[in-house]
Amino acid sequence: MYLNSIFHNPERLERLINIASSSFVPLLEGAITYTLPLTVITFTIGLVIAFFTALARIFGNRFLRGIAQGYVSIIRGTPLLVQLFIIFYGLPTVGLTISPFPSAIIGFSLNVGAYASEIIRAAILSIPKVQWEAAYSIGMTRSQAIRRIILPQATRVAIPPLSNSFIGLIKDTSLASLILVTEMFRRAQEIAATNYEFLFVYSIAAFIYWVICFIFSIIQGKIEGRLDRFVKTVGGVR
Amino acid sequence: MSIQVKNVSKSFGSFQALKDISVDIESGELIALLGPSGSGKTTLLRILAGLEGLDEGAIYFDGENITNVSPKERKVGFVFQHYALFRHMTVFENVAYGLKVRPRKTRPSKQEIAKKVNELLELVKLQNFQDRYPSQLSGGQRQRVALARALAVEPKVLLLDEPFGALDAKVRKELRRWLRQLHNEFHVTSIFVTHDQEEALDVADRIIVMNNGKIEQIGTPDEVYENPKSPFVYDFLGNVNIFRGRLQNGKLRQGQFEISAPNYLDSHDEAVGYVRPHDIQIEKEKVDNETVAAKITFIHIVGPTVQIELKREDNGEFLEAELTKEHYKNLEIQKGDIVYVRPKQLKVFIPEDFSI
Repeated sequence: MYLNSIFHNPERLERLINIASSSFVPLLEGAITYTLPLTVITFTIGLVIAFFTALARIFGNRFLRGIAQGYVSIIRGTPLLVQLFIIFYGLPTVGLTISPFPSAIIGFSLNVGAYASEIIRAAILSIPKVQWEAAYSIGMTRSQAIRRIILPQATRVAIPPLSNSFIGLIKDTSLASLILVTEMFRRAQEIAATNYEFLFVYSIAAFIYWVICFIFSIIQGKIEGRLDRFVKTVGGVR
Repeated sequence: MSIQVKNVSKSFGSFQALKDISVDIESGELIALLGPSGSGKTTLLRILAGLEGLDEGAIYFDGENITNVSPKERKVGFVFQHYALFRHMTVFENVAYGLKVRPRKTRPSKQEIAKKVNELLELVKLQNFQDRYPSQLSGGQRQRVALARALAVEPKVLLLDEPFGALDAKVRKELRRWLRQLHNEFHVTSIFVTHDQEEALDVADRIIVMNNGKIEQIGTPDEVYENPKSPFVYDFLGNVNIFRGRLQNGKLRQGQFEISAPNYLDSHDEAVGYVRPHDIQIEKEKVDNETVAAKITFIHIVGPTVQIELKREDNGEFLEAELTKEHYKNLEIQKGDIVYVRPKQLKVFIPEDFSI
């Protein structure tokens, strides 16, 4: 119906082409200046948080374990949007005003940190105990064993679920539009509000999200291939 | 390095894995820890390596108490049952890593490490495989990498946990000989765990036979095989035929049937005679009371030896005999024949001495 009405109405077709060409650039700009940086920065910070949270949960004393567990529980137990709203709209009422982009960074980083810490924890625990023992038996310290024996192997285990988180994060950044970050989806909302072509403009935004995710899943495949070199046997059978 | 284990006990929850174990091992010995699963042999090995703590007792290396020393500082090489190679590293890296991670002061230079690793890989005949990953090797090759990795750090003691357990019979035998040779060359005190009595008898200087967390016997292969101190050791070191009876005047009597046991002169109402299958003689005529009639139920030819299963005519118990093929041919016996069985050599244990 929609397509029909477009192709049988040259004026409307022209209007849509105009809108497409005029909105594509601002949308892509939103993706490049906000969506991607937000994703990459928060994922990096989140991984660091996740790594130390995982170590605290595995090796920490009761105190550290308790803090790590509490953090993971609170973040996983509350909606991401609510967390963002608390940081951006809530904190100013106690005198702590943070501008939109930093608010988004804080909110998303804490969120990624909690989820990814579980992935990293599981990956570390999936490495057999005897690998630790073998490391100790040839004279490694615990930190050497973690760095040189456990993490390289755990990384291989963690890559697919972490890639999942990363791709999830790309799309989750659209929530930042609700705390006034002018990322891609916010721009789409603004453009659509002026020309009322909601379906068309949001579809363009969706398409750009999909292309970005597609590119990253290709990168994921490449990384896995590299880390896989040690699990391949002569015949190529695992 | 000499090793002393003094009164070591270890429990896992309510299960007592080791009960007051004491052993002295001399420098340069090759020792087999032999026993069934659950006997505590692997636990003892892991305690020696420092991978497991102990509840009571102490371990001495060269007279020095190292009970609370970390595995890293014990200078022990450990070969794990399933190799535990670092899967993300090549063969070369696996062997080199123990040297690479040393603190700067004691770390050899890159060239020295490479030289050392190449020597070791040559020793284990894997010099052409140094760039492979463990997943690209066969079981026997992995085991040799594990050995090279353990030897790279120049251990004072080499501990091996069922080193050949997961390999096929032929590779096992090959590696066994090779371990023996290696030991002759390096003279590093070595202890290996096994549940295979043949392996223990074949390779070790001395065997420690364990059962239920205790040491049953320590001795050379010949000693434990020829003079087992307990029925358990006798039973564990080979197949066995059991004759229960009454010990009197150097004879074990079972009704009419009596077996001469000249080394046992005291009398007991209950005694158990143990006879190895190869000490059972088969005769076609009854010449005296020292034989018992039995029917041949099964004949099994394994290469040069012939195993014969028999069922006693008087009490229906089964016996097992082992003959050479030549002897078997001369006897001209076949399944279903009634023959007379003569135990040639008897080891007698009095059950009450070994009550559990």
